[in-house]
Amino acid sequence: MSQSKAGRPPAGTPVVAVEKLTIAQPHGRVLLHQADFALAAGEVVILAGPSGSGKSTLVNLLSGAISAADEGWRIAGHVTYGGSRVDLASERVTLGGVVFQNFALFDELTVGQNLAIAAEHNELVGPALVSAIDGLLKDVDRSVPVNSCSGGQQQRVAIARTLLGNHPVLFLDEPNSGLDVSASKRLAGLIRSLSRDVGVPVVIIAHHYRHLIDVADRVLMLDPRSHALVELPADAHRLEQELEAIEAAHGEPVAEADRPVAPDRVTAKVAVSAGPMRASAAWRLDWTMRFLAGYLWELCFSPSALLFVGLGSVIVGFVTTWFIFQYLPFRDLLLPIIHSDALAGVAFAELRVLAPLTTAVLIGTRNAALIGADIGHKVYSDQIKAMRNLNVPHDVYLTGTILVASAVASIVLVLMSECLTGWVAMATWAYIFPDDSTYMWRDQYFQRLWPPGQLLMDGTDWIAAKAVPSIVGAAGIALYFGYRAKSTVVDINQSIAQALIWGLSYILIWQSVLTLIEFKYVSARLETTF
Amino acid sequence: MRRGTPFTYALAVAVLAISGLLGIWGFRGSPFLDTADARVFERPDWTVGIDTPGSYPAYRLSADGTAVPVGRVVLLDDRRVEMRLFPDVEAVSYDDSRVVLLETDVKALWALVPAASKDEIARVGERLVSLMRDRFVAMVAQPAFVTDYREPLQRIIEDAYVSMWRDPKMQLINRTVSDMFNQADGERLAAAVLPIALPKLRSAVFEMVLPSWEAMHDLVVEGKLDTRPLERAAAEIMIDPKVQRLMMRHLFDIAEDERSWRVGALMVDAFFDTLTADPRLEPLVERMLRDPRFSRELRTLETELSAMSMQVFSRIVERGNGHPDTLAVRVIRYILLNRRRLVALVVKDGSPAARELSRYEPLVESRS
Repeated sequence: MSQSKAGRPPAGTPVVAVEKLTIAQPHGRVLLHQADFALAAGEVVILAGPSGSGKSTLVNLLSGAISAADEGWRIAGHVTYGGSRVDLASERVTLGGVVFQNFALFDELTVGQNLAIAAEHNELVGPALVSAIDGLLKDVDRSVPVNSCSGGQQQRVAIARTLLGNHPVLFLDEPNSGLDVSASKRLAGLIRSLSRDVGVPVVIIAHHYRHLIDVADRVLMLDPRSHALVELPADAHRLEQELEAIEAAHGEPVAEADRPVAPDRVTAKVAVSAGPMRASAAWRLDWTMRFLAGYLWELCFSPSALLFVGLGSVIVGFVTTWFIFQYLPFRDLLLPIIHSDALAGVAFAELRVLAPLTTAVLIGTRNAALIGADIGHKVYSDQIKAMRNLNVPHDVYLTGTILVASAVASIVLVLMSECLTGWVAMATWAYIFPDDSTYMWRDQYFQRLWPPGQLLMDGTDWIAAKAVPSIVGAAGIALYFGYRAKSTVVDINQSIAQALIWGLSYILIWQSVLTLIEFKYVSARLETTF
Repeated sequence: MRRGTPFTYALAVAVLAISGLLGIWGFRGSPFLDTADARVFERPDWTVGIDTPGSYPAYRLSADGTAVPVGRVVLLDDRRVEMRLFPDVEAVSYDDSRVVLLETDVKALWALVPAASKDEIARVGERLVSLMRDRFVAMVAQPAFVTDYREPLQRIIEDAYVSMWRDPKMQLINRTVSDMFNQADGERLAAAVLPIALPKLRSAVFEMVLPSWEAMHDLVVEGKLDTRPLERAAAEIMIDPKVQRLMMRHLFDIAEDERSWRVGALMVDAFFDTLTADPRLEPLVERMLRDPRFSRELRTLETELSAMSMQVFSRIVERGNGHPDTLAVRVIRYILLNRRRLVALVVKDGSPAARELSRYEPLVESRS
């Protein structure tokens, strides 16, 4: 296969060939049967068909979102690209870069970072592609958050980012959805010139094909009657006639069939093929640290997290000390007798039980809500799919860093809670007994918990065993619900609610069980120090 | 994943820093106060072997005997202990104060009781003796006792007493008691008791030895001497309130001698071992306690004993403010738990507490 100077084949050269492709959904519905098609360098192809005919499924298959390994799917056929032939029945292919309908830009990053993350996780692109991308984004400031760009700019950033993924095929999912006529025409021209400049075949999924078909070389239409991929000339009138005929014969399309594949059903059981197909995603330290810093701030150090822990600690330190020493029955008589033991008991309750519990409950639930919302939003807005498609390892950058940040949060915030609870307990006691030495408080408060000369408080291991798995576990639960398929905003809300409910239940169960075990061990040891 | 602003970053750093400082303040003490005043003393030999938990509370005794926590005493090694005062308590001048180390036992508990409370306890003791005597006399005076219990009980006690004194251990006890009596100024007690006792004894002796046909007959023919006047006189001496008060004070002095507890325990053990080994005792006592003819006396005795024991306990535990003393409570707790623990006391020279604790050797400041 001859290559252009930019490393791309000349226009018109066949790039990808798909042979005898059969796709059957998990419920048994056949979308394609023994279909053949090819894509040539620099051509623009409209992928048309009624809703539910399998257009998105075909794109998902060729961009690696689904494979024969996913439960229930039956897939057969071969793909040939760059001298490699892949059996779709046994291997996953990531042949196409996808520009999602909602762009799926990583909204916590700037424009430049959106491009960089794609470029740094894929092979270097040629100068022609770089030049095309520069042309595409000549009016876009790359230092601004991507959210601050206009819709048109975001679409061009999404296209540029997908091009940086260096895929042999570019898929555009409903690119003109929501655009007015002139914008739609401008987009069509852009796609045409881009396809020519970079020599990549562009496949456009479009319901509104009026202006796009003008720049297309041909049309591939999914015919649900024959489960075939029918090639049509790039003629809007002809395409309309065909679609009307299908609808008349076939009735209402099955909407579910057109839905994207649920991410939780996309597993990596099938090896990603080498060579012209995608290499497995490799994580990079700089990006890991960048995501980790973001989640550390969000989950651990942000003022709201510190405020939660601060208020919780004040309540624990004040309430337990105040009520035990102020409202003790027969206070005057009993206080001199039990004062020392009461302080030791309060210390145990506050520092070993209540401070870790309160912190775990407050931070675990707060973070579960944040993680559920963040990941839920990323799933709903196709950012997770985009990360997979761009070879960006979300399991490291999102899942991994969230769990690490949660672990750090559990240590830092429990430590903070211990500090504040202890001080508030001391201040409350000093208010109740203004004539007594606070060093005596310290002496009696820590008499069984922190013997003089010992580096760490007794039971630090128990505190860590209760707090770290609580907060990290709640984060894991939130990740589970966050990663589940989302088709509406309500699904995000539900995943947040479920993350809260199950996360909190888990924290309470874990803390209760561990505290009971701790009491069993501690009571025997306390006997000797009493 | 949101980013912060410079203000929120600064706020977070400030909150964390303040939390850390408060934690240090709470856990380790105020950073604005000087470090604790510490002084090293030589460790008394008798404390070697008491190493757990390694540091013990130190108190200062106020004028009314209330213990105020002032620091900790730390066992540094076998030769040295360190007294660390809390930085925020009134400074202790070691020039006019001394530090004593006490083991938390009954002796220490008694030494901590202020003199006024000890006097009150003595008075309660007097009343207790009087009460027991009255109840005992009331029971013994009953015809039921004379007819059913007197003789068998007398035989059991006499047999036990005789058996006890045959035990070779008692020779050692005898010598110890004699020493203690001498050391506890027994002669002074005798001198105080004699003016009260002598007139009574003198008249009893006269009565006993006055010639009468009956007495002469008993002495010459039967070889007997009527000792009843002497017994009556002895009983009158013992129930004299002045003698009782003197005896009670003297008992307290003896009680402060460590040997008295051991000797007392040995004697009581020996006597009760012998007594309880007698198979006749248990059924007899059981029968007596269930005898409805004594129920009134026993019930009265029980009620009074209960009230008095509470009074004694209060006097031992309470201090000038009428509240239980934390140190006394701590000592009692360790006694009940049978744990060997120490407490340090800072005592001002010439104070009432110093007099009460004069038997304890003050710690000597270490030169090393």
